[in-house]
Amino acid sequence: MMKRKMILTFCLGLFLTNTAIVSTAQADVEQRRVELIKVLDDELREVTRLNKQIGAKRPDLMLRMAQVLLEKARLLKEQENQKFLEISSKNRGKVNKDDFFKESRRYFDQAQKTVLVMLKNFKSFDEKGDAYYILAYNAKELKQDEQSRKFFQKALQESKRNSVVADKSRIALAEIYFNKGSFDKSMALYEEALKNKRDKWWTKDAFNLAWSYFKMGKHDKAIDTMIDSYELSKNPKYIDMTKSIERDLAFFYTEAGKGNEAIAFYKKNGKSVSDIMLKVGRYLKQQGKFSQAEKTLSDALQYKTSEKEEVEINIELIALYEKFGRDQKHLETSRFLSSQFSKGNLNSDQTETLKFNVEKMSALIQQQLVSKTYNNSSDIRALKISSAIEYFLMSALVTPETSQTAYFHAGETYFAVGQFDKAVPLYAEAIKRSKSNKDKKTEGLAINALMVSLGKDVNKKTSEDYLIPAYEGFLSSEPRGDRSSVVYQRLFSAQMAKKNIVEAETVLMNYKVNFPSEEDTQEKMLAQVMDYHRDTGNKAALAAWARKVESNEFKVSPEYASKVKTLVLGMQFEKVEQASIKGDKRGALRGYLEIYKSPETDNEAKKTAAYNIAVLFYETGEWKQMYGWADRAVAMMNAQEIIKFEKDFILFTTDLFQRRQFAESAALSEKIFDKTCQAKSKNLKTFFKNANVIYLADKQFDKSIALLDRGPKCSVGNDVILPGYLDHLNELAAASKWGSFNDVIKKLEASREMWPLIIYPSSLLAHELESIGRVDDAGKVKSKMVTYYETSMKNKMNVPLEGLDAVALIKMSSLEEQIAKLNSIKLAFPVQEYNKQLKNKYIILDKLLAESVAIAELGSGIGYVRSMKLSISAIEKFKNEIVTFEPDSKAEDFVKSFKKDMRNKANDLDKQAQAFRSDAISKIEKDNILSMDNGWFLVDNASIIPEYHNNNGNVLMDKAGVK
Amino acid sequence: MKKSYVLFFLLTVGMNAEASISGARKIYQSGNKSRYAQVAAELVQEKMYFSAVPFVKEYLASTNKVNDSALDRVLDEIITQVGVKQFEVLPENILEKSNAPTVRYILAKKAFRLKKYDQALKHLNRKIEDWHPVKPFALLLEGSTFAVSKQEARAVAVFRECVEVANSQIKKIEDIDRLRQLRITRDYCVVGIPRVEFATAKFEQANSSYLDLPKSSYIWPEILFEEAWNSFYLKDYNRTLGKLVTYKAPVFDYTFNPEIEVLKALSYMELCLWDDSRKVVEQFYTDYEKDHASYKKFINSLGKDYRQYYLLVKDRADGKYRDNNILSTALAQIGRDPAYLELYSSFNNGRDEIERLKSLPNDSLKVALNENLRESLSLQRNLIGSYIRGQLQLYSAQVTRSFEDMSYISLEVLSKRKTELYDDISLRETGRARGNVAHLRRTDKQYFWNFNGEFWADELGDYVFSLKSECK
Repeated sequence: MMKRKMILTFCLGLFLTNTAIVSTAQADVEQRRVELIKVLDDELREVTRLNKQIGAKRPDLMLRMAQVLLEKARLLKEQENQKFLEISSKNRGKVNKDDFFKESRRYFDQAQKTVLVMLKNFKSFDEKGDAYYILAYNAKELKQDEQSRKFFQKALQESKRNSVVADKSRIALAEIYFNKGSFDKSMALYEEALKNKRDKWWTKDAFNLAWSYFKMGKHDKAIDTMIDSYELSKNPKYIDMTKSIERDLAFFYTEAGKGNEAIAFYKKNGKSVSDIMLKVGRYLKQQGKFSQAEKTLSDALQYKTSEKEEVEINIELIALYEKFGRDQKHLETSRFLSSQFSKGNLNSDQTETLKFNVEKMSALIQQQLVSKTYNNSSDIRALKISSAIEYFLMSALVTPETSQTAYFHAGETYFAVGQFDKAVPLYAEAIKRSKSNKDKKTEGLAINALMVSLGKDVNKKTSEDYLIPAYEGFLSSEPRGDRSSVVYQRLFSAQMAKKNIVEAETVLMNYKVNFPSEEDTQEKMLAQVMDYHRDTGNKAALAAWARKVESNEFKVSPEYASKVKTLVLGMQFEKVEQASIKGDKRGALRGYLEIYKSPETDNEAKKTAAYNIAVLFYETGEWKQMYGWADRAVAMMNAQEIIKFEKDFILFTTDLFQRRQFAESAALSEKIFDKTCQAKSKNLKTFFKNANVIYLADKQFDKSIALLDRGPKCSVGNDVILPGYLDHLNELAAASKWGSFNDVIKKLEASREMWPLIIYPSSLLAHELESIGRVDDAGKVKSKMVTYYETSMKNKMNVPLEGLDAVALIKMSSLEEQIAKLNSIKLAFPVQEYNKQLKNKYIILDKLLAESVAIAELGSGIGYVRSMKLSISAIEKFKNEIVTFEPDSKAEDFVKSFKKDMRNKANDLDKQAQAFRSDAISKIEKDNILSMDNGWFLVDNASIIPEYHNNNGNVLMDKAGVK
Repeated sequence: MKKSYVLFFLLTVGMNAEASISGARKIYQSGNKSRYAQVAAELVQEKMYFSAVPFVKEYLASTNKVNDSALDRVLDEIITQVGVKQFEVLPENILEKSNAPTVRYILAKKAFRLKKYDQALKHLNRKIEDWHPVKPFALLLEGSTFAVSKQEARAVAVFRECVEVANSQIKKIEDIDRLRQLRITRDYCVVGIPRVEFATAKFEQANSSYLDLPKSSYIWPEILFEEAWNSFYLKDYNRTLGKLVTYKAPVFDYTFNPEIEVLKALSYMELCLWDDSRKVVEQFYTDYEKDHASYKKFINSLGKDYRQYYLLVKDRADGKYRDNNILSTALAQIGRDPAYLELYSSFNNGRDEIERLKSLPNDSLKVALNENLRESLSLQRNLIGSYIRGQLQLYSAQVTRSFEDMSYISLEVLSKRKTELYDDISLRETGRARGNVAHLRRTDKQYFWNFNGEFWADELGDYVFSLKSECK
């Protein structure tokens, strides 16, 4: 039973202290609350189980159950409260509170009910006090203050005098009376309850008792009780009230007139005397005893132990000084506090106090100055000015975010009294701070004020020091205003005068941004900047500005642009060119190379350097280097630049060609051609032709065809391109490259004027096709050749001789067919048949000769000679057939006559043949016809073939050719 | 804390060799009730103790004053054989007529039970010689009386004397039953000293003094529990738990003491091992709640039918009542109870007298003896049944009390858990460190054994837990 008692006592103790403990719960409150509710549920279950085991309702258990129910009710209510507060204020009003808090209410009711049942059933239960205590607490929770008070009273009556519940009830009642201001009652109750130092709350309750004593005028008891509580607060088992006591005890001592005791007390407890005096001072201030407060606080300064305390005291004092117009002291205190502010020793409240004071005082004095209050007293006026400025600067210090205003007003103060040289720096500072604080308004005001001030009679130094800031400030607030253009120029001039080139450049750039159309002015400013850099030899800067000009960032006159370019290039090439002039090629080369490689060298200089290097290598005959540098130069140069130097480039390509460096020569030509493609170059065709010819000479057909194909794009005319293709075609044939042959022919075929020219190359193709057995394809080609020829003839175009030869050879086949037909008719008797055959043969011969004439008329020497040869051979063969024919007749006469007739006919034929022969020989000689068939006419002894040698041992072509 | 102990003993007193059954018949048939003492003396000589009891009781009831040392010796002999119970039922005014040391002992015991400690001491104050068989028992009672009446120093002195006297008698005794009685008495006197020390909060001393009781003692198992309490008061909760775990050993499965679990839960609680403590509580309820309900129902159904109670122990030995763990264990414990064993042994001896009566001639004496024997044995059986009933009711009360204790422990644990929660201590739990030998305390007389779940006979009672307290 003793054990049981102990447990219950403990639980009660816990219950009594719960409120304060729970109130300290912070972030994890909900988690703990849930856990606590679980524990309470377990407790309820356990009490119920215990009741069941015991088999009878016991008041102590009922009490316990009531305690648990009440505790759970309180936790639930906390939970509900939290949820309630989480509802938006808008919706909170709509919530039915009875419904919302019904769960906690249910438990409060259960607890209440349980206690009431217990009190009814166990009238003699000796712990009724505990039960009433629960009821009291319950009522307190439900805000039934009067009911709660009554129950606490009842709890006190029903509990044993020295029991825990009795004391707790006394404390609860005491608190009620204390809060009501019934200090006589609270004092009596606290006195009784606090006889035993029962729990950790004793210190807190004693604190209230002390106040009760104090309120009842029992100062000594109040002080003694405070000290008791103070001493016990040092024990970790008790609630620590030391801070509150240290604060309030000072009031008690002061009110009791025991200042010395107060000092002794605080000294004894290691507390600062000045701190307590500060507290006393504050108290006196609160009581309206200002002079005493000032004295106490001033005295407190003697005992100060730290700057913190000194600050606190001065904060109290400054308010007093302000109140009673102690200006000098106020200023001194403000100075001290400002210095402490700078050290970061002022808290936010203290800072606010200082702000208020310095702002108020600065404004006040300024007003006095402006209103000329002290105009008759110059000393006081000077002092006031100085004070006002100091206050303004202090104000700026404590309010950095609006410090521009303070500086501006400080400036205005000087301005108002005509001290412009002093006003100027303050305006300048105001401008600077306005900028950092983004205060446009003050900035504008300060700028205007500054400009006006500088326009007053200020000394030279002021002007020098602040003119530029003034201009800058002005431009900063008015970058595009009406007056801004002029101010920019002045500022620029001022900077240039001071040789502040960087700042001047900035001004120029800003000017350009804000006045983009003022190009003339820009150019003038730019010229000054570039002259400066030229004079100081700052090539990098000069080059940078030149680039801006070159890139059109600055729009300048063409004259000036050219000047700039020349200037920059001249600077770079000056020395190298001097070396070159002196014949120091090595030195010149080194110089150009350095220029080329220098990272500072711009593209313009680079390409000039590369070109010059190429020239130098050309001159020294080092073709590889020449080619390389020429190639670089071309790569960097634009078309016009190349055209400017194209004669030199032709020299380079020719030199390469002559040195049989076909690939390099052609590549360079092609590159130049490509670069100058769209430009008007006199030598464009030359580069084109050269490149093509050299490619073909080097059998680089692909490059040739690519070049030819690009020709039209570069406005190269067909007069150049088509011969190029023709060359290409001929070279293909010469190199037996037939793969792309037909394609090239097709390109040429597109231009009818080329038809005469493609007859011969086509014949080569036809010949190749025949030789590989593609007779049909060869026939098609030949057919086209004839078309080319006939069309050409119709259009009166000249067909080259080899074309005519080719056509003649095609036509020759028809001739040969007639000859074969002639030969195929055999003469035979009877005579009628013979005549008929003979007649036929003559008909055929006529046709044959007509064909031959037609061939001869083509104009092909070879065709002509061949057709003559064939025709003559056919005639002679016919003649021989006639002559050698022996008639199948026994009639001599007939035979004779017949032979005679035949001889006549033969003679006719022979004559014709001879005539042909003569014509042919004559023609060969006359027209210098070179034909394989010449020998047939000209050589009598075919076994001897003459060879001719000239003196140099070269073989000369024999006109006769081979037989 | 601890139940009062019951003492039983045998007294062997020399008898008059001349007395005999024929002598008894002659005196009885004289019809003079004032000579019943002599009849009893004759019967004692014939070892017919139960038959003699009614004669002695009637003599004492009918006589104003007994001033006969011979009768005292007869009384000593009879009480020794049939046990004190047969005479405890007599009112004090009748017993006070005799000066026999055994009767004085009975009177003292009755006064002790009525908490009339001065009275008890007064009965015992009259000199009992050291050699007298009742002396050790009387000293034990006297020591106990001093102890409960807060005369600790005297109590300790008497217990020491008791141990000395008992040991002296043990050396001279050969009878096994008698030896067991003396040893048990001596051992109770041995633990009387630490009990006094415990009562005076000299827990360290008691801790050492308890070690004077050898583990071989018949009473050691029950004293182990007291030692556990002592360790508890020394705040050596790990040792308390170690001692309690001994009861888990199979050799102790007859032990019925629900308070073991209570103490275990309490120890866990003191170590702030809330979960363990509540686990013990919940397990206790699980183990006992249902069985206890049926146990109570069963006892209530028996009413005051002592014969039925008398049969319970025997029936349990035959395999009955094993379903109910409480009843089964309780009956097993009673079966080993020295008091029960003595009652039962005496009862058996009484039944031997029935055989001897049969050989007597059928006359008025035989009729009277038959009636006497029936009456005495009937009383003896009822005394046994009553004893069993009392024990069973005691156990029931213990269980009920234990439920209550367990619930209070549970509530206490919950309260402490609440305190933790309100103080936000437990939420900063960093995990439990268990089984560290660094948490042990021991004296020179104690040996530390590593408890590994096995039970070794020589380690019983020496187990020590090494749980780290989780109290913040």
